[in-house]
Amino acid sequence: MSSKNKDKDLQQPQILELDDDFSLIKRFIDGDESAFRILVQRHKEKVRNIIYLTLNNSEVIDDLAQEVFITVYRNLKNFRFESQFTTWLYRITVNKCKDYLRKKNVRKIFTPLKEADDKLEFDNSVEKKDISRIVMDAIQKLPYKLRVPLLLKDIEGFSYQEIAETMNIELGTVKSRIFRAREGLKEILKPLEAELR
Amino acid sequence: MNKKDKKDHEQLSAYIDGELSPDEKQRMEEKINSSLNLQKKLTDLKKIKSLTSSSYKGINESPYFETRLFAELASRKPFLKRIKKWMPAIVFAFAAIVLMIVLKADPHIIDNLIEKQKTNIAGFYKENLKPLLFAADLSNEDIFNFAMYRKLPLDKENNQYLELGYDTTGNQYFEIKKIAEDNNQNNYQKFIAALELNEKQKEKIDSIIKEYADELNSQILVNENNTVAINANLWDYQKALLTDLMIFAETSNRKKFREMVPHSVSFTNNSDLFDVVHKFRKKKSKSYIILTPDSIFSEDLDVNTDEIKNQLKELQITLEGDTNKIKSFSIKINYDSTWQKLGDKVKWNSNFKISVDTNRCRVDLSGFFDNKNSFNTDSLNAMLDSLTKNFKSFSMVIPKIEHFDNKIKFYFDGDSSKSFEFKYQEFDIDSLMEAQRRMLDSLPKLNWKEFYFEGDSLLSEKFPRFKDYFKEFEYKEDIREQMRELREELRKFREEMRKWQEELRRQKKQKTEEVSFN
Repeated sequence: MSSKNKDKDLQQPQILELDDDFSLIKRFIDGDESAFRILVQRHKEKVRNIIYLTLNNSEVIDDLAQEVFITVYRNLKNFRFESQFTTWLYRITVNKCKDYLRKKNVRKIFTPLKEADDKLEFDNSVEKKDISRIVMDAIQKLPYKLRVPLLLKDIEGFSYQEIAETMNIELGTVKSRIFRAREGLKEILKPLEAELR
Repeated sequence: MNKKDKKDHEQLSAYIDGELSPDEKQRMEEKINSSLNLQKKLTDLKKIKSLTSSSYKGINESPYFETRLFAELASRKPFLKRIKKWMPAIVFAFAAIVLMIVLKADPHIIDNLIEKQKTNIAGFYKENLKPLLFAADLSNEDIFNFAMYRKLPLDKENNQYLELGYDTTGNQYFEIKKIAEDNNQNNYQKFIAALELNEKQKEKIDSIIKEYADELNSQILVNENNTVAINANLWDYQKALLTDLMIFAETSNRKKFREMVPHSVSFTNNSDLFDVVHKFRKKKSKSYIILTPDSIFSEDLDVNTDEIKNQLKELQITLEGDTNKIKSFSIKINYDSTWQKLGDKVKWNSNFKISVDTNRCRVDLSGFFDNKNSFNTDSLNAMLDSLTKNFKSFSMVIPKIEHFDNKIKFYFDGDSSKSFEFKYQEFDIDSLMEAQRRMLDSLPKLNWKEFYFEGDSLLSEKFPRFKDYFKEFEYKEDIREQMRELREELRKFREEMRKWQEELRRQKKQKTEEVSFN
């Protein structure tokens, strides 16, 4: 760096742009709609991933993600700044997924039995799938309450504390559920142990 | 797997996730080193974690995600914002529903509200109604003119009058109008002079007028809100006053009275008249026709005449010498747009028909009175009609006329300013007549009827002779038409005569030829 540039930097100190989540939320509350666009750009992929991992259905990702951000948009002015924005955002995402599954289960009750069975059928043929697909399908066989903490931990890299806040459960419960999810997954994958080696 | 093992395995799972505290981590590592079972379990859990972590390949980005999201947000504006543009329609619909519910619950609510409103407005206009007699400071002359011409001044300064009348079918009407100039002055004094009344008789006739004036107090009420309240009995009351005055006049000086009235009119020969007058005066009516700038309606008013008399006395004492204050009570009716609108506004009221033009407001009461008196007044009505139409001689002063060779002089007793002379030799009668003929000839192409000058009372008031001129002109038009027809007939007659003469000549000639031939 030349001495000339150095002087310039000293004379005009760079003002740090406050673009962390809280600053963006404050800007949005003050009427700056563009701040919300930045928040969406920043967090949309994480939200889409959580939805996909939770539901294992690529068709509904964007629709549900849109619902998540619309909910955020409508409620952002009431954000209390007591927890991280991401914690609040992921909780909304997880709840949207939970709602989706609940509605789907209700629909399943009223779906003709044959059609429902076809959808439930799990394809165990290894030849057609790679290992990743096999593992992902196996994870989907876990109950929702075990599956989601496991995915948030192993794929999204959430801490136990973040998972507890996102799912609104105790820290000990998170630890227990992740362990049980791993045990369950081991059992599901046991018949395919040879292929997975 | 016992409970302790399960606890250890849970801790082991947390261990590989890096979620143990340093102490817990140290204890766990010690346990792992000392237990083959835990070492095997650790390997299994690590393998599972490795499979899970590596199984997810991620999802494709959605390039239009934001575009779709913000489009969706724009269309999903908050409920209130979205309905904002429909708000007027929603409010209107809501109001309609409320109105329907209210009307269902009480179908007469609107009628009641209107009635209440009408009562409120009526109350406003009825407030502070004062007798006209006080407000307009009426004199004996005014009361006398009321008797003779059914006309009372409402506001002398502005020449506004109340006039009562009967239409062609005999139904009552009244007019509030502006008279351009009142030429009918001092009628009362002229009447007294014409009857050659002595002092005692003058006092008597004054007392008759005073008596009626007191009773008139409660019959015409006015206030500063441009309201006029007229007692329904007023028309009969005027007849009673006139009849009483005429009875007195006839009894006071029969000879002079006979010179003034048509031959058939006599008030003293008919004893029933006293009875009729008495009944008219005693017929008290509470019903008033109340004319306001907003509406016209009739209502019963309780007017306490004694109280009014006392109030008048008190006010007269208070205001004695201060005529300006008295004037402030005079009613001022402006024939502006407010009054013009009134005519249309009250058309729905079948009892009253209002017509307003530039100079007057006329209210026809054909639907208001049933015109059925309990006593027969036909002979009185006929007599009063005849009297008021022809009773004018007392107000005319005939000038003395002197003839000279080339002029005529007109003299009015004691008033040289009104005398004038007419020098007729200065006029060229022939050229004057020729000029008049030319003027009339220049007019026939215009259709004067189209102008309808007679319709407006102001024109008649301002130019009383115009009406006569119009009629005269119409008459001349008729004559001209008849003359034209006559000329046509004469032309035809001449033509026939000519033909007939020719025929005669032809026959005569033929005869002559026949004779010569023979």
